[in-house]
Amino acid sequence: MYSYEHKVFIKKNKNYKLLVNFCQFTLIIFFIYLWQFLADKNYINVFILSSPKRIIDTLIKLHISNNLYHHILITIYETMISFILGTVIGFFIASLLWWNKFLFKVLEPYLTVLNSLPKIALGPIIIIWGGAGIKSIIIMALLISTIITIINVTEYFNNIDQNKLKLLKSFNANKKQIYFKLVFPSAISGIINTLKINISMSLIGVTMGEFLVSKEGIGYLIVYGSQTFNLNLVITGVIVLSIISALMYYIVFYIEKKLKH
Amino acid sequence: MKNILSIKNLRKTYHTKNDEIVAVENFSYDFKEGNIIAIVGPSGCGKSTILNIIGNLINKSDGELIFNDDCKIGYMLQEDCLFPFRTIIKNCLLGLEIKKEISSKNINYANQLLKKYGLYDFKNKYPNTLSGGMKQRVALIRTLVCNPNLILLDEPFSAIDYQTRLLLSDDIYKIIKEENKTAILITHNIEEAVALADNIIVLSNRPSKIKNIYTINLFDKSIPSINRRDKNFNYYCDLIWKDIDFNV
Repeated sequence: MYSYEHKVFIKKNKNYKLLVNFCQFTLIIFFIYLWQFLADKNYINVFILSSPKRIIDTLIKLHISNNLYHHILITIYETMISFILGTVIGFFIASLLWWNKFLFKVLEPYLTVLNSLPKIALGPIIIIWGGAGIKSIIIMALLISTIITIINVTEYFNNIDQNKLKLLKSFNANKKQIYFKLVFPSAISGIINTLKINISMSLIGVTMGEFLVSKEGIGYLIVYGSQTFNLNLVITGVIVLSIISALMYYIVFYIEKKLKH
Repeated sequence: MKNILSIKNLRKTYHTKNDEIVAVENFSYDFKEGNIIAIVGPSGCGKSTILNIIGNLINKSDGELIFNDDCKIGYMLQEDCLFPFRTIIKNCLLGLEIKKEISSKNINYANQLLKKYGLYDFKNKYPNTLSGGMKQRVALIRTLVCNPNLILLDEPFSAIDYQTRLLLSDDIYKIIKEENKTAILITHNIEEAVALADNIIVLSNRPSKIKNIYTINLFDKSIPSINRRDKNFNYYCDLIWKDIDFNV
């Protein structure tokens, strides 16, 4: 039913996609292979740089000692809590700032400073406040994700189409109606973008928190590995962390796709 | 004919940090019920300012606006301003929702208008599936379902193509005349003003003052697309064209 030309076009498109996927796959295989090859030939110091085989050994060891899933779950758990709390709190504060322009103007410079302040610097204070446990880790992650959320969502709220605003005002809409009928729903698509940033920010915050205080989680594994000069453990931790972050990103990405249609 | 709105000595001054701009000055006019009144003038002369003041979207600086008791204003903007996350019917009912006037009678009226404008099949679709002209028609329905008797039209056709523009101005003309509504039309398009309006107010450069007022007497007054072929049509267009100080 399609013309020959169209079929060629589709095929070209498909081939291009396949090529991209193929290259992505080859790249990682090549990298792993090269790494192992250099390690086997002793061109690199496996004590410092580890090797794919050693990483797999470490994973198996962690699996046998039944620790791996516990650490992964702890990190995911902390990330989810900070993600959800950060999003809700950030959203709420952004709505307040939209509601009260004066408050926004007053707080704007403080938000900017808080945003650019490296939150890790607050680590020692957070430990004293929250103790050496999960509470401190979540506070750390919240500090990062909430402020980013506030700034992004406020930006979306303040960029509402002025003509649509005018239209609502011509119907004598009050502020509550403007918020619920226009501001909130229009910002939704932008807000899903914020979620993508937020999930990464939460993971960053949780890892930083685990570096500082924890006794469990992937961040803890990495720190523990470095303190005992077990670089295999460190690199394994980093790889597990990147897999977690990729998974979480794609879950949010998938939700976004679903919500947009 | 009684006045639906009388404006006396209207003035509007905009204040910015470095400047004070008088947009409208000494504007007085009696808007007669059932008429279509067009306001034309050079761009940036403050036409929209007058409309926004009538629509109570901005405050006047001075002067008087006397509305007829049963005056209900409907505003139609230059852009369709449809909410992308609302279906067509939901968009049409937006004004009613805000005014808390949703009733089965009003919903029926909305459906009726959707049918009349060939949009009924799109009722539950989203605006991105519609063409520009269709969107503008939805915007018109959104204004009409609130049942206003004074309709403010702020360059309602400028964002759509010529063909649709002619069709839509016929539609709007018919509705206004059939239902005995009053309309104030802002436009920079002289032909459109002559084709649609009963009276035309020509404004001067800023600060806007009334430069001239015309009553359009065509030989055979009809719908706008036919008016455009009237013998007197070009005469009025010429007259008004010469009247407007164009800023190039």
